Amino acid sequence: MGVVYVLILGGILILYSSLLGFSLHQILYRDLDSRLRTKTQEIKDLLNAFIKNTSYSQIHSRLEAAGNQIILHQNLSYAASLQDTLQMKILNVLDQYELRRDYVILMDRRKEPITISNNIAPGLLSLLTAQAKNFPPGTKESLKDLNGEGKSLRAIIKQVPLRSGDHYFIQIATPLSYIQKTNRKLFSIILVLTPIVLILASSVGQWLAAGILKPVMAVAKTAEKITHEDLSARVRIQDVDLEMQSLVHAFNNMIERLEQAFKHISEFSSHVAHELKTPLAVIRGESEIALRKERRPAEYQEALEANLRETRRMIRVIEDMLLLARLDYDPRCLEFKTIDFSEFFEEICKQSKILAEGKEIQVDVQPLKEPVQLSADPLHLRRLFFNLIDNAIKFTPTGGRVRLLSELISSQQVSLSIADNGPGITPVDVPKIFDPFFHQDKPGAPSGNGLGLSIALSIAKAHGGDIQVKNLPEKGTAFTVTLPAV
Amino acid sequence: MKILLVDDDRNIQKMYSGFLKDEGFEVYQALNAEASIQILRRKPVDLVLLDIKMPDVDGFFMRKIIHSINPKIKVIVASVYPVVEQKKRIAHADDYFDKSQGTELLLKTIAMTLQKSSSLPRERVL
Repeated sequence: MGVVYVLILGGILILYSSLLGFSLHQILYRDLDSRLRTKTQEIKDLLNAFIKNTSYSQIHSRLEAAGNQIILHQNLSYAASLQDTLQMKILNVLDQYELRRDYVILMDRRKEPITISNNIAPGLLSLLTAQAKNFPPGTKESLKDLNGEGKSLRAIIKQVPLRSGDHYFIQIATPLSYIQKTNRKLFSIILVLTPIVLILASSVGQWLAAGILKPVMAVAKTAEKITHEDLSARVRIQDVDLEMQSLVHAFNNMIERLEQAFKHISEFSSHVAHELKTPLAVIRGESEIALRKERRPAEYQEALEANLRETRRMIRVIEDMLLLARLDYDPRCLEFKTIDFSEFFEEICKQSKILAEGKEIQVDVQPLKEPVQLSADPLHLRRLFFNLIDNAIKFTPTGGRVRLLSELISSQQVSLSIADNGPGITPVDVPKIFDPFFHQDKPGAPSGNGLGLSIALSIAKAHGGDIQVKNLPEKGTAFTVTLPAV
Repeated sequence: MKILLVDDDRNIQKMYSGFLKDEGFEVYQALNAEASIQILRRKPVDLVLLDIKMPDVDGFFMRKIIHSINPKIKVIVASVYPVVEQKKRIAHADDYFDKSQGTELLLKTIAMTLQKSSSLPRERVL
């Protein structure tokens, strides 16, 4: 991965250098062109001073003379030729504008050379005049790169108008060596600097990344230590930088949740094993005992009855577990329809009274005055209330009392409370009462499979409702089911 | 030999008491810790078959109580939980019996426990 990053960085550096080189090249060219224009202007000014007041017929010879004056001075030094002020002026211009290394040609209007600077070899002259021949008509100046005779040049041709209406041309060509040299220098600087920058950047990057990745490595190391057998490992939050703390915190929280989930699953499977193995232990034991010796038919019948009872118990546990799983993971299994709450409540009360008869428990009823409609699955809703009522009857002593109270909480909510006058729930057990397989640790507490209340809560939740449980100040417990009305 | 069965499941109680009586043991039954302590105080029990998922008290503390009454009483912890899950809870018992493993094993476990010369040293027990 590191190599990829270095390659990407290298690519960026090359792109950057190319853009830099291109821009520099353009700037240098523009600069060169502008200097060529200035030089042309200066020569034009000098020549115009020379040919001032010259008649048309004399222009050619005056230009030749003037041109010679200027161009020939290219080889002169100040010491040898300080004869008059014009010469001084010419030399000044030549030096000031670095004209001595340039190639200068004056041409008449037919673009025939009038005079040429004496550093121009015949081969070069034809190269320069070729540009002049191609001078686009109607334009005032033309700038072009010229290559030939082992030279690379930038050349300008300028058309100079005369007062008489005639015109002549000035051509100046200057070597491109300066630009080429600068380009070469830049290229070699880039060539040397790029690998240095790459090496520096990758090592600094690696050093920085190692620092940043340290807490990530710590998280990875801890993650590797975590197995389903030991989820206790955590990353020490104080060992990491502030910005990584949230990551570590989230990671630790995730492990915490996983640990809780694993604990929950382990406890759940342990409960399942207990609920299924206990009846199996009885079935096995009863069968073994029955078969140990020859017995009377009544004894075999008793054993078979015991086995049947335990088989039913197992089937109920399995069915309850499946229902609970379906309610929790696929609540769409419910078939909702609109039902009349008062009718439903009446039916519940009637059946509760039948159930309570066996223990001579009195069932008090407080129906709802207002008509309320519910969207519910009546089959499951009945199961919810019978689980709660069955529970209430189980915990109410013989001859006790169970109350069924319905109440309209708001226009959107209705409640149904089932209150008993049993021993109540031990306060520490209240939060656990809806946990699957929870049994109250109380001597003489009636035993069930511990799934009834979990199923009741899941049905209530699937209906968009809830169940609250509280111990009553007088005695007993009240389960209050709230359901949304339509 | 006198055996006390301590289990909150009446069906298990009924089954084991019938079986053990048939095998010649004198059997007492208790559904919870309180009842079992009362029996232990009054009857000379040799062995307690103790279910560790008792409603009113943990089997481990129950074993402590039993030994405070008579340290010579042997205790077999009975459960349907796998042994590995119960390692901690049965560490101080004389033996362990998985109720789903059948009556033959129960007899064998009882016989082996009663044969052991004495219970564990007291300091380990208490």
